[in-house]
Amino acid sequence: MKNQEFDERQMYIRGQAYKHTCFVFIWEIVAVSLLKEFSVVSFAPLAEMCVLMCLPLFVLAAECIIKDAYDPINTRPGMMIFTLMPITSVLTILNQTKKKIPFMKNGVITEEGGIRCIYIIWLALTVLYWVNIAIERKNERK
Amino acid sequence: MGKNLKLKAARAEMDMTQDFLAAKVNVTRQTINAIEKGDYNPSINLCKAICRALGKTLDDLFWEE
Repeated sequence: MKNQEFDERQMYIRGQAYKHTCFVFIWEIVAVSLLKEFSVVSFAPLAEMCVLMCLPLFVLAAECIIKDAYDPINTRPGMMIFTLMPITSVLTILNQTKKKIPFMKNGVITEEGGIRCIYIIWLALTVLYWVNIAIERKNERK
Repeated sequence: MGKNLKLKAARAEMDMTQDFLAAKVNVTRQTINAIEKGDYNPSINLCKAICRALGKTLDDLFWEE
């Protein structure tokens, strides 16, 4: 058997995850357009980009993590990312909160608000990743 | 798809962990676990590799009666 980066089950799951991500992205564009069209909420340009890009990527990463298709065979590259990034996320969120930077201003999600969304999503992924690792280690002992 | 108890039994017979078997056939431990639980249908190549690793035939491990 060829030495692949991901095994066949992981490749299949990643393919499904990309498909779901694509659908989420499409529906998200529709939802954001409707929200803006009916003036429910508006976005600063960077905030819109953050939300549009991050939510589908969150879906992709979350599905891969939950179904154990994130880490390639015999490697754990995610550990470094999921250790360093949450530190940055927490520091940024705390800094924004300390400076009382608003998430929304006059019905418009601010750029800082968009950036905060990214970091919150990163934290959520980190929690998901480490919980998954803990469950994996518990199952390995069985 | 039901659980693959034959595979689990064959692995236990050889006193092999899921991790060890996974490393032998070059997949992740979670894949072996998914096959044993019946959550994943392996390809014929993977089936053959598992059979080779456990010293069994395809009929022994993957034939549903």
